[in-house]
Amino acid sequence: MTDIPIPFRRWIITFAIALLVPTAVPAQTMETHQQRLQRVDANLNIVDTDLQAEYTIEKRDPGGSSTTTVAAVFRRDRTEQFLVLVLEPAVDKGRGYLKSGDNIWLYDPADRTFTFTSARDRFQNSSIRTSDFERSNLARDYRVTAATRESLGRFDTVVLDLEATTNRAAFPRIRIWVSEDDLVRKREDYSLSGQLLRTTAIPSYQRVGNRSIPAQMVILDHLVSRTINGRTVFERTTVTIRNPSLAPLADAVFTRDYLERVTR
Amino acid sequence: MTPYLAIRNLLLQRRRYALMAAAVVIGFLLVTILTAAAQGAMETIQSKGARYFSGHVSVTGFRQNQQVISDPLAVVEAVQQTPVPLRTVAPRVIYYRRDARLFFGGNSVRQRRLVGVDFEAEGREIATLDFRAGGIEPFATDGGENGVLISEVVAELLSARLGDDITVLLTTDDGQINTVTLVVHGIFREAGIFGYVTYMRMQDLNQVLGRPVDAATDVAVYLRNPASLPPAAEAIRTGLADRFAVFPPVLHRRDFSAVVDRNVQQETLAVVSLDAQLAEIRDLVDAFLMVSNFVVVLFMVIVMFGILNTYRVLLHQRTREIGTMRALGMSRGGIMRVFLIEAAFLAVLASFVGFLIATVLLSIGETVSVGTGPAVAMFTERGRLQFSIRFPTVAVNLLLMVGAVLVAAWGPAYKASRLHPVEALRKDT
Repeated sequence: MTDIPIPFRRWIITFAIALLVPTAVPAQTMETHQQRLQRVDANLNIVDTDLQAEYTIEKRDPGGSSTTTVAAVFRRDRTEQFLVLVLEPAVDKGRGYLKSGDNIWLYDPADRTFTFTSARDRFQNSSIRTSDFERSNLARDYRVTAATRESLGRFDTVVLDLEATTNRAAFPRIRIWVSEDDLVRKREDYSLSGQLLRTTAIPSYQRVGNRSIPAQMVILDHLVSRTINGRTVFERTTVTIRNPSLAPLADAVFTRDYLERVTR
Repeated sequence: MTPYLAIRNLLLQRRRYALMAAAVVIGFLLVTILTAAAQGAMETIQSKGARYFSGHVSVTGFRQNQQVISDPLAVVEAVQQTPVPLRTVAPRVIYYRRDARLFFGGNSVRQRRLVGVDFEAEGREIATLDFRAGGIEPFATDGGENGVLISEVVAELLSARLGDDITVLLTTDDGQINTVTLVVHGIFREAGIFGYVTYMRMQDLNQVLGRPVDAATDVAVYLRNPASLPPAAEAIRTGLADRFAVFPPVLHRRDFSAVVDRNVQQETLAVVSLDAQLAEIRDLVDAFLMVSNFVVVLFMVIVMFGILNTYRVLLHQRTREIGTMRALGMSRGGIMRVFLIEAAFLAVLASFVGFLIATVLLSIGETVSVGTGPAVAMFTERGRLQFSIRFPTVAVNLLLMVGAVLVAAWGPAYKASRLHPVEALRKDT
């Protein structure tokens, strides 16, 4: 260090400060970030009509086999309802998840019974939680505790650390990477003790009308991992969303009768 | 005089009675084995169930849809003051929600319940688990912190071994997902519903649930004599009622919801005996007992007919002897008594022999491994069937056997007593 000329040392210090300054977000901007959450929710939720799409969910076990589930998803965000109907594999065809009010029902066509399930339950034993089909309620269920800026590939993003303010939240802590267009590009879900449970990457969105709907999501389950050849491999679930439609759906779609009828 | 005559006759005619004695020996042997197997199976399930369900009698606190006992030490003290002879009384934390999962090496297993144990108080009960690896020793020291005991079936599903770090995922009382990493300190052999339970320190489970470290949901009560559970449970319930709000007795698990209002505003205790918890399994054992009792009754009927016919032949062969006894002044009643006492002595002696043989066979049977399949494991301890011989049951079996023999002997003895002495003496047998 003694050999470094003083001007160059100053330059190093100045550069270091310059690196640090943009990442530290002052506390007074937290309110702004809360507004950002509202914009994110507004971007993802469709409140003036309904959404219908086909989800292909491919789960790949760490170093093992893969299974594919195809489901038809019907969402009505304004009333916080959804219906997920499993189309494939054949053995699970007709299974349905219906959210109506605060309840989520799981319908088993084999014995024609409805049972309660939780928003935190895994969907078809994959890394997707039932809550992932719900409308986005980030602003309602979380408060921002920290914010930084970070480059994520080609995106300049704001990284928001969120803490649940209600028991309804699926995860007690999450971290989201929000790009300039107020879309979530990456998300990490943590347990209360701070253990990383899931990482979700949403590399691309598709435009439907004037809405943005994820085209593909990749979810890594950090609880289900295996070390293969010295490398940690996580359970990986890839969700591809096809044929999205914003055509209004009949009220009857979000009923138990419909679920029973459609699976007959 | 009559008993002396009867015993003397029995010994003198022992060859004639050999066939009858053999039938009674086999009959009593079978009865003893069947009842010992059924009782042994029930006691094995009770022993497993006691660890799983929180003792022979469990005390669970309810308040506003949550299981909680705010002052577990006071409940422990109150239970100890009841007149019921106790072996162990210990507070517990039980995670009742069915969403608990264990994760390790890319695998996961859902658990039926997580149990937080006060190892100082309940350690000796948990130590009776059939450990395949490790044990409860680390829990006696600080080394047991963040340790866990899992069943062999769970360890196999997770591919976990002793010393591995497994992750437990659960939901806190506030409804938030939480995780904790625990070290496997012991792997025990258990199957069926009792295999999907994880034991850990109370403090560790409380911490991950976000509760005070000394919080409890239950008090586990182990009795010195678990034979009479419902009266003991009622005595404990009555004892607790003096100091705490308690629910009415719960006699069957299916009645639980009808009796226990989980949403009660004031903390209220539910006292449930293991018999009520195991009612469904008990129904299974009772079904087995019914089948075995049917077999026993069938065998006794066969024995009775055998005795009836043997006695007919025997008395026919002894007609002159009957005539002599009558000629010497023995009354009709006396003749009947002699033959019935003979039969009773025979039944008692043969039953005793049958009991001795059964005891030897059962001792051998307990050393034979019957495998560890899920269906078998529920009724076995360390892979072996357990047999239980209880004195009251043996006494009842003996009474039944003697009664059956007497009923069978009654007819021929009555007929013999009606013989005219002269005609009997004239008879050429």
